[in-house]
Amino acid sequence: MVNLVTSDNESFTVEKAVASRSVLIKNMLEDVGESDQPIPLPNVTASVLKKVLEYCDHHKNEPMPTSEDLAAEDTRKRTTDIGEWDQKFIQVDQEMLFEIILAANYLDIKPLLDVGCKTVANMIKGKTPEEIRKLFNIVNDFTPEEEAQIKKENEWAEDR
Amino acid sequence: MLTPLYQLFMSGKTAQFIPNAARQQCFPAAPIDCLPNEILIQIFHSFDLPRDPDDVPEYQLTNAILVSGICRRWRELAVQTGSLWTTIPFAFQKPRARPGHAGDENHHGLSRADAFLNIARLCVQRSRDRGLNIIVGDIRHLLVKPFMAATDLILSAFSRWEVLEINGWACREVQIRHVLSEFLNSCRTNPSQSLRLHSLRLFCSGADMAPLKDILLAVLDIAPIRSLVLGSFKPTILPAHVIQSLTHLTLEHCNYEWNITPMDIDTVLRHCTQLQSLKIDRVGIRNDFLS
Repeated sequence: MVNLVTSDNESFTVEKAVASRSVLIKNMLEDVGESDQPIPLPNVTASVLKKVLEYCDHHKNEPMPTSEDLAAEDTRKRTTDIGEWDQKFIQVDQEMLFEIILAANYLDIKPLLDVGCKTVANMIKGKTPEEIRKLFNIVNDFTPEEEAQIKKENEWAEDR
Repeated sequence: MLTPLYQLFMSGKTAQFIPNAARQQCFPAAPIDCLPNEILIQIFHSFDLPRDPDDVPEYQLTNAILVSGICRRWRELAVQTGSLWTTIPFAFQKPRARPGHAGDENHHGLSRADAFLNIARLCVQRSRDRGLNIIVGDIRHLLVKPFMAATDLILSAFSRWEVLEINGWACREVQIRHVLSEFLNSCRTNPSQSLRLHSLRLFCSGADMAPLKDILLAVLDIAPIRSLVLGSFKPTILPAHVIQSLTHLTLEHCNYEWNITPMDIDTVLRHCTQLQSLKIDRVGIRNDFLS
């Protein structure tokens, strides 16, 4: 078992197979060997780690992505569907979604990072720029000149 | 005193940490602003692709333009991320007459050819030194002058072409010939430029196969093609040295007089030394015996 300590000082004791879905933790465990020392995660809160561990536990028996899998992500033929369980898992509010993405990036859990990024991309897809700004509370900080250029680019791309 | 785990942890990975306090400060306004640039770029690359592969190039470009029009930070990131702009879909729908517009105009009154030229120029410029995917789709209705201008534009970056797909069923033989011959001319007049074209997909109607055969072979001779998809071409036109360098070969849509025989496949298999995949799809095979 592995003991993880969050930034808000909560301890989580989990199976090694679950914790090792994180490449960061897996490498630490391999480098240090057997140890009872708790692993501090100063950048992850308890509520986020709980969600991340739920993901890791569900996927603990799956093979880790290989370098070939990662290379395939760069090609046009990459698979893009999010699994049914993952879709339900990632149905959280925006703050939690971005916290999960940041945690997955920090803990180096590539499949979870992918699920998070695809979820955000799917939220963007098919919306107008104004709808996207409203959805994410983004301020339109373009100058009138930049706005004019962007309008032109959109017109070029439309209805070709 | 720090334990080894703490030391390892704090020494190796702390540079990547974002302090909690800083994150808490930025979350109230726009939580998405807290994502670092590399994650935003990954999101820009993560749109689910359409099921129809023919729709992919246009779709990717539309999303690149969409995300570059949200705010300054996103625009700077999108414009600087060359990989978002590497696919140039060279295709035009048949002009539809609209009240108050000429048939070749989109609903902003812009000629479709001019719109393509502007977009292609953006892609060539913003993709920086990245390899390009040139997807030639439906250009049957494109007039000669804008076709030449469009071809010149994509040829300005000929040495960066990595993937060339030509759907010969949606364009005329003379257009295919022009694209390929001008590519060859560019290669021959700039021999110092190393070529990146490693993937070629060429479909044509059976009637166009004979006149295009020589120019196809010339391209295969000059470019370092590793992946080849041919539609309506028999594999026996391929010289041994071309087959030897291929890692992926796909033969499609060979029927009737262009049927492939098991002997043809046997010839390919005899010459290949690096082939990792051979796909045969919608091909009529005559009932000969493999030798």
